[in-house]
Amino acid sequence: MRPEPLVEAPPGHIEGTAARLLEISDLEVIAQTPREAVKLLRGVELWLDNNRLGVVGESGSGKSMTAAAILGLLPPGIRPTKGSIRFAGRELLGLPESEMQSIRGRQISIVYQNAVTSLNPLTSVGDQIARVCRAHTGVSRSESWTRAVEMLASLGIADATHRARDYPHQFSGGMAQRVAIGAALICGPKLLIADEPTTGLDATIQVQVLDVITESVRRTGAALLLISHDLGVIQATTDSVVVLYAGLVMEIGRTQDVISSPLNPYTQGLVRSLTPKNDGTIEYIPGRVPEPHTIGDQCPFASRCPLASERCRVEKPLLRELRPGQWVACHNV
Amino acid sequence: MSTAQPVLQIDALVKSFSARSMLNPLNVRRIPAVDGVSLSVGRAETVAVVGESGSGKSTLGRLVLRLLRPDSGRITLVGQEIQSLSDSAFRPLRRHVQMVFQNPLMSFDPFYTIGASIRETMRLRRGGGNGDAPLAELLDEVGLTSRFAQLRPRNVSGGELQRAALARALAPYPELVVLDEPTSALDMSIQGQVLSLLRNLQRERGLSYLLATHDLRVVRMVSHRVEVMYLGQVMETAPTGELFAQPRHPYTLGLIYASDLAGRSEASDRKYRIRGALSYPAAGFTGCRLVGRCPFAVEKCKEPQELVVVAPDHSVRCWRAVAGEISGGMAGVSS
Repeated sequence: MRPEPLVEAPPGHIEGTAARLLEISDLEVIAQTPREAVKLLRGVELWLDNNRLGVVGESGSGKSMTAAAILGLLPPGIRPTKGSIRFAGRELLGLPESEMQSIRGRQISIVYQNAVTSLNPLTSVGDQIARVCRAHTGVSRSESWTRAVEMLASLGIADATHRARDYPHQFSGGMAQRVAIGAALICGPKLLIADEPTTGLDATIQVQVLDVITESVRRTGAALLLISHDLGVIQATTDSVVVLYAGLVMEIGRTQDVISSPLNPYTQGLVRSLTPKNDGTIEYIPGRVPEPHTIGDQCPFASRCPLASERCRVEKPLLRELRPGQWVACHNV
Repeated sequence: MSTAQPVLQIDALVKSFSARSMLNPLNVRRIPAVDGVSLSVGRAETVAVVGESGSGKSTLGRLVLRLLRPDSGRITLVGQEIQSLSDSAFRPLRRHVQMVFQNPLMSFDPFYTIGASIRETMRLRRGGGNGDAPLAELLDEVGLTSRFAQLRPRNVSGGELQRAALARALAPYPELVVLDEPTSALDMSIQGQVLSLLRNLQRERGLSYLLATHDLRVVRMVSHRVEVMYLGQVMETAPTGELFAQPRHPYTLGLIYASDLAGRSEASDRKYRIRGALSYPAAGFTGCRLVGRCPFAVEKCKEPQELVVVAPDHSVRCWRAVAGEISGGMAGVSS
């Protein structure tokens, strides 16, 4: 492994330069199989101040793996081998499990895609929120219940006093997601990670849940790391965005900039594929996402890229700031 | 697009299910999943059925495929009424209508090679046609090489498997393919490939599609006309271009508005947003089913609503839309 940094300059300046809430640099995560070690994240860079950051990418791009690495919840056999994850000035990689437990749920929380399956079916929704509260703050049973009911009411659940006694199966998908958001926010975390929070919900319900997330991070002052495969969701909910492809950051910048004038060929292809061309035909990126074990030390998009040159197939591109606040990993832009 | 005889004609189709209350199992009610739907799909035409989950679009597709039997109404496939046919009488017609499901991994037998799965439907062809050459031809038609025939579903990507699902559907030379959310399970960079393929196949083979989806982007890209469904009823139907340029029904407005996340504002939120979640009205209620969620609802909406023609080929089930009280100020919603 080569020790030199993957970013030519220190991470950029999307919103100010003070000590960052979250800073991930050169994060490499590897899955160990009996035959070989497969790189799942190949030097992920991202930084987040007190704002809303989107992470967009396809399946296998490493979005959820990044979230799991932040929380110290990587599955067995998958481990970070390089880089760092600094949260509020503290290195999280290598932190003992007991200390991670005091961070998880209290300082960093997560909301998953399918709320109904991430809630406990045997416990009332109010109790699930109250338990999180008690576990981290040591308040009394009745106080934690009161807070849980208040939280549910603040998330737009009508008649929260009674509905807190209901069980997850009595909630619709959108309502269950509000409960999961409540459990994530009850301890006033500094960072809320939302991993595809509205995927699988109807558009009408998606709007409601995104509003609940936006409004509650605004109210509590938490930063938001929103993971989605949907550029529309990212555009509507975040200030800046990280575009991931096969474990590599392709582009970072203000959300509006990246979507209105993407610089990386992958981001460009993605944005173009969202609307039909004037002649009615559909533009798309040819080929397929490569399997992680087939990508060596190269640009993972090289096999599908219209700009690919020989260099792209032998050398991984580094992030460069090509426009103020817009960082791009590409040899040929 | 549509010629004299449509490939599929549906008249006043009704299918309801019994649902038991979770809390009181004695409390059984009828859920009208498809409630008086009429539509037709012409040759080489794509008709999209859109709506939230629970609107009845998948049930409609299953009725057309004869995976479900309707309570009443007529389904005419290539000129033959199929709802009253026995299974054996329907069998020769089976090849005319095929299906592509949302999740290709769940619609292929994991123990079969992809080639074996496709051969299953090739047998529906008139006069058989079962060899390796026709199989390779089919795979080539959907952009796959013949080596895919030997692979199993787990060993190919989602986009490739969905192409194989298309090949399987095309094998008996159907007139109509029912597509149930054909791209929802696919990655963004792959969705465009499959949509483009669907359009090319339609052009080359003169195929007709009945497309059930909640994704309005997909609707815009591939469909010729749209049926907007809510709780089993068609709320609005129009040619695709017209529906997006001049949506009339508050539900259509709400769906378009909700899908255009970038174009939101507080003012238009109050005006267009569909509130709450889909739920069945109380038993015996005969008014507009959207009444509890509709931002335009007034007292009169509790009366029964008919599907009324408002323009050539364009009908709406909303008295306020018919009276021209909804369509004003639409420019901000459709982009």
